[in-house]
Parts: sequence; structure tokens; C-alpha cells
Amino acid sequence: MLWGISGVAKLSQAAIRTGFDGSVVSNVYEPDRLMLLGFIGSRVASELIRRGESTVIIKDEDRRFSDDRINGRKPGDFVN
Amino acid sequence: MSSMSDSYKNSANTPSKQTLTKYIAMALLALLSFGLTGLGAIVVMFALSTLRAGRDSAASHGISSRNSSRLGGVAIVITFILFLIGMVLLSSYTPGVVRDVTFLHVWSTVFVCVILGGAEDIKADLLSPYFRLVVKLLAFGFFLWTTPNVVPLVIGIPGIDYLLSVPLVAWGLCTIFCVGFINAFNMADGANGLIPGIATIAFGILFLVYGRPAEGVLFFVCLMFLIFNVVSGWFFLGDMGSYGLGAVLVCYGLLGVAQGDFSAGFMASLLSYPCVDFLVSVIRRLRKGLSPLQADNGHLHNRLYSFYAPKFKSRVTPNSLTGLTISSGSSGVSLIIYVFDWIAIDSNTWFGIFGIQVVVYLIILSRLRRTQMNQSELIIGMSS
Repeated sequence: MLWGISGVAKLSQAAIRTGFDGSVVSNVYEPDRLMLLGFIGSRVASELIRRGESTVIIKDEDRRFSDDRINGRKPGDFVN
Repeated sequence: MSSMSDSYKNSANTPSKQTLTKYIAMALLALLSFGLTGLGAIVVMFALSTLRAGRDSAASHGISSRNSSRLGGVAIVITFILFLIGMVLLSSYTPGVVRDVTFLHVWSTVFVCVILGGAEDIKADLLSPYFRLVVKLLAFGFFLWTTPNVVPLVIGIPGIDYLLSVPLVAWGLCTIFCVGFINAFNMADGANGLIPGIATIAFGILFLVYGRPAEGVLFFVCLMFLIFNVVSGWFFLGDMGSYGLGAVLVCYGLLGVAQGDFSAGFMASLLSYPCVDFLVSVIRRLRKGLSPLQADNGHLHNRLYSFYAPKFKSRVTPNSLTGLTISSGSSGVSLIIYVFDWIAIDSNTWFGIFGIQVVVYLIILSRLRRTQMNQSELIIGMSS
């Protein structure tokens, strides 16, 4: 189960790295992701990343890292 | 594994073919829905279902006809807490209780309900029903007094809106409603997959509405429990599960209605079965001169089970079919309307849907009761 949480956290970090370009959110049926999270879990992870704004506060280092990549978002507005 | 002894054919503890089929079905459903993460949750639930603590004999639990464990609520709490701890340690998640004082109050109240139910699950009749009722009234009374933003000011029904405009009356009404709802949730927990199904749908919708991790985890945990409960029939929510899930849903529901995120009619429709079944059961018992909280077999799920049971050889199948029929026929309807966006969730049209659900409930209950009375008269006539 902890492996699954770690997987979702990595997906979230990947989404931050790519500047929320939608690639992580739309990549629902990637085989490794399906094996770890299943069909529903993979969609839930995408929804968490897409809708996480204002509900989950990221760590300061992540915020600094992602600030210059995401236009229009305030620090602390992202996503898990 | 004493309670599962009938699932094993010989003393060497070799699982029967039927039990192996159940293991495979649970594993496949968990893998398909939530992958290896889901499989991990099923393994945790299986381990807890084999504990000696929290055993129920077949005679003591609703329509179940086999020995089972009532530690399903414990499994849900443990899996939920494991996930939260994992999310805090492994990701950048900040729990709602840290971010927002309202959520701190919500989860403190849920915690009280979980402990109350847990005490009853570990040792039956440890706390008297009246003691539990008083503690729940105090917990929700304190919660709503200290967190007035959870109390809705308007729900769209003129008479009740007038009462809600008086703060003290609104507080009293909401306290009674919350405690009544938790008891209704507990009372309706009488068939495999009934309350877990309703909770899974409700948390799924709440997750889609808010996108918060807590609802996502609760949706995951309830779905895994639903799979385990429906396929195996070895594991029940127990008081801890029904009190805990009921408390979370009533708190989130009130908060959502108070914030105007969805209408009271929407929540009524989503959670129609426990509410209607509770009210109808209380009225039925009062008309018979019984205590309104005395258990009986007049619920719709009891009657539907009696309708299904003769049609199947298995004892688990009609039980699970009863729960799934009711949860999908009540909350499932709200889910479909929500997913296809036929009615906005903040619309009062949902009261109309709730009204239809009440009428359907009463018609089905009446028809099943009449059919079963005719059958029993026929049997008495044949035997005499």
C-alpha cells in the first residue's frame, strides 16, 4: 500500500516537473501505473493531481522548484 | 481461523474450491480496480478477518447465516490511517486537520464515534445503548456548538428554513439529525455490500466534487471493503465502521450544504436508504408498541433477502445481491444522475428524486411484505 502512495507522490512530482502540461494526468493507462494503481486508482491519481489545487499544500522545496514552471499559480496552490 | 472452519474441507486446513474461488475473485477485482495497492488492502482485511476478537456467531447478525468477523470498521480505520501516515511521510500531503480547524473538529467528532463503535465491536454490550446515545449527542452537540459554520442556514424547505434561522433551534435540530443519521446508518447495515456500497458511492461523489485526498482514500478503502464483504461474506462493518463512516458522511454532508456546494436534497437522495429505512422502522415499531430502537426483521433488506434466498443454493449470494440491489438502486441512482449531470448538485430538484426514492421504497416494501405473508399463510394452510 505504501508503494502505491509513493507512486502517486512520484506522479505528482512528475506533474510539477512538467509544469502541469497534462502529460501525467492523461497518461492513465500506462502499464506500470496500471499495475500499481489499477484502472480506478490510476484515474483517482490523475484526478488528485488535476484537482489538488488549494486542497493540498506542497513542501517549500517543491514550491520553489515549481514556481518558475507554472505561470499564474500562487505558491502553495498545488497539488499532491 | 476458527470461524472460517466451514470454508475448509479437512483438518489440514486446505481451502475448499469455493473458498479458493473467492480468494481469486477478490484478488482480481482488487487488482483491476486499484492494482497492487488494492491487493495490499485486501491482504490487510483478510488478516484482520481471521482474528479471534470481534467474532459474530451466525445467529447474532442480521441475515448472515455463517460465523463472521465484525472488525470491518477496524480494518477500514487501520487502512485509512496507514494511508494518511504514508501520504504524510512519502509525499507533500498536509492533512486537513492541520490546515483547517473545521476539519480538526470534524475528525475529532468522528474519532469519538469510532471509539464508541470500536468498544462495542471488541466486546458486545460493553456500553449500554443509552450511554452511547448520550455520548453521541454530547459529541455532536459540542461539535456543532464550536463549529457553527457547519450548521446550514437554508436547506430549501420553507418551514425548516424558518427554524434554522434561529441559531439555538438550528443547533438542536442538527445535533438530533446527526445522531439520528448515525443510528440509521448502523441500523441499515444488515446485508453484505449495503452500507459499504452506499459509502463507496458517497465518497466517490465527494471526491469528484472536492478532489481532496481524504475522500479519495476513503473511497479506495470502502471499495476494497465492499469487494471483500460482497465476495466473501466473512467480514462486517461492525459498529466502528457504521458509526465512523456515518459520522464522516453526516459531517461532510452538513458542511457541503452549509457552504452551498450541494443541496440538502442531493444529500437526502444520495443517502436515502438509511434515512427512509430508519424512519419507516421507527414508525413500524412504535405502531406495534415496541421500542423504536429494538431490532427486528421488518427492514426492506430483510424482506428482499427472503425473496432472493430460495432462488440460490449459496448463502452468501442472496445476501450480497440484497445489499448491492439496494445500494445501487438508491445511491446508485444519485450517482448516475450526478455523473451524467442531469441535475445540478446544488439544485432543489433533488428533493423530487428523494421523494421518488421514498415512494419506490414503500411500494417495494409493501409488495414484498404482502407476498411473504401470502406465502406463510399458504405454508400454514398446507401444514394444517
